[in-house]
Amino acid sequence: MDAPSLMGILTAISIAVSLAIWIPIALKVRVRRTEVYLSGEPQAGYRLGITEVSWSVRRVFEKLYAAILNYVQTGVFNDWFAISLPYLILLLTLLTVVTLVGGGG
Amino acid sequence: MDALALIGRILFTTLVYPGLVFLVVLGLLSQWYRRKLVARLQNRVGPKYVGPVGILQPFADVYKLLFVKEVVTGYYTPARFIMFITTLGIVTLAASTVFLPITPYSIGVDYDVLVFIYLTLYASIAYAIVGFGSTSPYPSFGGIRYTTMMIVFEPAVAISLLAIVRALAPGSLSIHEALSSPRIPGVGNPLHAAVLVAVLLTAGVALSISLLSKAMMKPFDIPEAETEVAGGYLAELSGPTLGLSILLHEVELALYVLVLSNLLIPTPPMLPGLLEVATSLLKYFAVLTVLVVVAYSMGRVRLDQALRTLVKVPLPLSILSLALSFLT
Repeated sequence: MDAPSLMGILTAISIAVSLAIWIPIALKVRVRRTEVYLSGEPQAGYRLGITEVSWSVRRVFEKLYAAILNYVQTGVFNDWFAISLPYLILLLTLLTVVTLVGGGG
Repeated sequence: MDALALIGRILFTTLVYPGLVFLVVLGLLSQWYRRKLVARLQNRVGPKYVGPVGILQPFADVYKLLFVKEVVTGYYTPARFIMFITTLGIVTLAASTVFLPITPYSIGVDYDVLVFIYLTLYASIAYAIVGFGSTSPYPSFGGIRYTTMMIVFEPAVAISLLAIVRALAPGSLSIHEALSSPRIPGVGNPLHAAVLVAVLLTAGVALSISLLSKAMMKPFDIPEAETEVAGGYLAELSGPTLGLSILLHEVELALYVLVLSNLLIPTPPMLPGLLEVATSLLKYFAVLTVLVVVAYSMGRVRLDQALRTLVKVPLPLSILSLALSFLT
């Protein structure tokens, strides 16, 4: 067996086992939702449906953007290169290792 | 191999040994050991009341949280979604133990270290999603902080693992082979032995520092800082969600320290026999002790300091170790 097939089998088994564990817990657990605290203001105007996909997606990307803007960027022009450098290095090393070990190229 | 037999082997290793049951027990025992050790360092008593010398305290904590009748959660937390994500993180970590040769049912193929890295990534992603999944600001900050560190420590972990496995099992890049039958150059070839020691040292330091940030241990416990972000990604969790998140953390730490300790001290190899398993666990607790003592001797750093440290130390060291591994 090769690594990609094993990867697929392990991923499928992991998801199946997770679902088998999660479904009974999720059915049994009772979730009580408390009201959002808005300093006494009416909730209608402020309701943010976190189950609504568009809002969730927007919210996640907003936070990612804020994270990159506030914490990662250093005010230098080549920030994006600096951020992606570890992954570039990882990809290049992986490629080098696979080429050298596998005798390809 | 027969497909049904293969799935049976994977299911056994994933669910029982050395997967879910073994990792949960080892992780919770390690939590007790860690808490006792840190308490000793800080002149405290540590867990004391549940079981002999408080050894059952982490089990009691997690049991209480998992089987609490009702999750009292706010508007902020999608509880069932977080339960699924954390369960998936724990199960993928358990599935990655299929490569650990402490059971006769373990599996090893060429390039399986890449599959191991891929499977253990789910846990990191689960942490980030637990943070981002909440609309409350504190978990979001925890998620942001973890994701930011993840940008640097994940490549460092992957590259140093590749380097060690490349040095111990050249040709196959199999973590199973590196753990069970490491190719250590004999006395006749001192140069190769010196290079191997250099690879293990550089990759070991890189992997240890990255592991501290991956497992959010001091000084990199910024994502769950109580005084700054009210517990970070754990702030809005309670009941089973909190129990599963604690389990995810302990299981991840246990798995990585088990792999790290047995890769760094490659002899005697990790094998299914009782004596070999006991030796592997001895190595595990030795490395865990060093990690905990070093980690808890330091205070928490700021996010920019953590990033600077991670970029300056583990990342270059991991690349150096990989370059050295080609000389073995």
